[in-house]
Amino acid sequence: MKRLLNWFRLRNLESDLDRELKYHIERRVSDLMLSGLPEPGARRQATLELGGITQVQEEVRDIWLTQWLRDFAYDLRFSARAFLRSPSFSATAVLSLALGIGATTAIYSLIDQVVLHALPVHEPQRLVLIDWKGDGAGVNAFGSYNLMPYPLCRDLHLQDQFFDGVLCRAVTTINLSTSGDPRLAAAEIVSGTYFSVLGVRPALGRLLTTDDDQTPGATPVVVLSYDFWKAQLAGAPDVVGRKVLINKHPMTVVGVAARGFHGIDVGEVPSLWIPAAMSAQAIPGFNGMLDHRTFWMQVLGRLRPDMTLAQAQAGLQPWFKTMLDEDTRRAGFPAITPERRQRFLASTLELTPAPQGHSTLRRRLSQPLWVLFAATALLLGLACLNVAGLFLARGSAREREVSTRLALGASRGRIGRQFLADSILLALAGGLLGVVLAPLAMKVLIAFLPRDAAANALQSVINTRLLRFAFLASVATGLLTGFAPALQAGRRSLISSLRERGGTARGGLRLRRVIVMAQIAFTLILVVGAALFIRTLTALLTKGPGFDTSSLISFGIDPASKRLLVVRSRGSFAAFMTKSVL
Amino acid sequence: MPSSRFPIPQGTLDMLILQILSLEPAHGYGIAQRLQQISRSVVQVNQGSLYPALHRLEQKRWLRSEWRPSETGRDAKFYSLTSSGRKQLKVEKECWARLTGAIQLVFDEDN
Repeated sequence: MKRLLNWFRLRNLESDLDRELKYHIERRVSDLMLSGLPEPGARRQATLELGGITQVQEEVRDIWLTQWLRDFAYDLRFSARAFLRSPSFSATAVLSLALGIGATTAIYSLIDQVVLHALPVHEPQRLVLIDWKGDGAGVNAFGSYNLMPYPLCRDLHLQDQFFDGVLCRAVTTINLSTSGDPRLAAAEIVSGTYFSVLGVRPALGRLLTTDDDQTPGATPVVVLSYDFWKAQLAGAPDVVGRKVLINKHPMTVVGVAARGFHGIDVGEVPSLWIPAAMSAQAIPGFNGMLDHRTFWMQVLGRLRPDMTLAQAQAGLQPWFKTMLDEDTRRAGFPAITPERRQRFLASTLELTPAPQGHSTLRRRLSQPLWVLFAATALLLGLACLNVAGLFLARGSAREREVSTRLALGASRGRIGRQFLADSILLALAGGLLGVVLAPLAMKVLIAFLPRDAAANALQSVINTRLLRFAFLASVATGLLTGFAPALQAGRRSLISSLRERGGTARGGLRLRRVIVMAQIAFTLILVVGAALFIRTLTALLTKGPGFDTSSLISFGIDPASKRLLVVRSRGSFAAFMTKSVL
Repeated sequence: MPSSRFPIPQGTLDMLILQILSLEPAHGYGIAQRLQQISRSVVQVNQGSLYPALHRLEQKRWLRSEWRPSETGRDAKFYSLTSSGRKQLKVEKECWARLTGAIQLVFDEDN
């Protein structure tokens, strides 16, 4: 145990050793100087006598670690041999741990992708989401959450005592044609500050700047995402300068964004970025870019390094108040009731940390995901208990082996560690199998999510972060599983157990009772949870949407077909549809 | 290197350290000096292997250590023998006596 502690306290030991050696050198130097040596010479000789300080440190470090590791490796070998001798026991244990670890890893992967993963940009922790709190008296709003008008974003960008910069963005779907047939593509309409505020670099050419975002309609340029460039344009090196058609408007590709940058929303991966100045072209029929009452963009800011969130939020309010006042006098301010006007004037700006960017998917999924994670953690806990129970049963069968080892002089700690090695080895095997199973579980989970949101955003791949999680989960599982049996090891008095000649297994009876009780409790929670879930699901399925859905169809129009329909009136559209469907 | 000094036989350094510490607790530098004095500079201890040996013995719980002021006033790490260290020293002394006795017997056979 002491060595295990040593391992964790290595840093502490280091400084200790450092001090110890320094003391030695100082003493030697002063002794040598007393005998007439000048200081530099004395110092050199003192170091030389030690054979080099680094060498000594290395050697001592080796002593700390190798002993422990060597013993542990020996334990693992012994455990592996024991497991191979009882394959059915091992298979049961590994399989139940694999299920637990695999499920937990799968859910964690989704949580990691949706909730935890910070944007691959410069200092993501300084990003904040700026949101309008109150009644914006908007006449026009589309998009999802946290919407703001574009002019406000421009004004906020000028508040440079709080922000290093402010960006805004909106997602849309455009009709894109690069060379052949047009197809639908996700695009992000962004302010000219977008890339510079995020600190994203180009992989090719240049990115959008504020110059691209001055006069509406004057700068037909786009930046492609790295993945789109690689997948759809085969990574063509001469892509910069090419023309693409966006909703039939020609625009020039000026660059490709850095690899790994997928916009700021995990749920909406854009193929390209269009400056807000071209929003009228990117969103057919839209001309609200400069309108103060059209809410359509999310605004994110980068706080100055010396600014806290609270300071910035408090500091912004007076300025915001003045702006609200101005707004009411502006032409085009809607005629609203005095009551609503009051609410409008009481609006404030709200800042929230946004190192992970903005995501509607996260809003919708983070809570269910955490619930699911808790449920799988419970499942893993159950697997631990199962295996711990198995271990205890096996432990009683091994009583004689343990007694013999004790009689031969093994310490109880040594035997306890052997038991821990057993469980850790099993858990690692289970973890390995779990990681193999996890992508399967992830695919199933992603298929369960609403298709539009999750399909292209979430991936069922194992990355290093996930492997690290699975490894930690396995080790924790192993420690948890082995803890009870290890404590139980060698509890009984040596003489009585040797005398008993393979006798009855009484050891750990109370412990096993506790484990069985915990198992029942855990299982009950899970069964009740699952039953409730199934009931809700069936209820929803039988209830339907609340109206008669027989012989109703839903449809979308595919713009890839060349015979694009020009709709002149609602009547002609209905006539066309009737003709096509019937 | 003067030929009158020879390197300490493998495995005996631990025993010598235990012996020195059985008299009184000492820090690393003190042990090095005492080794030098007691053996009248005949046995040459590589000071570089002293500290690894100390840590190895501490790991085996034959020694314990604590920081306290040394004779110069500065804090130094003092090692002292534990009870199991004392037992170990006794065992090693016996082994040594039997070994040297046996070897002496072999030599005596010659005459």
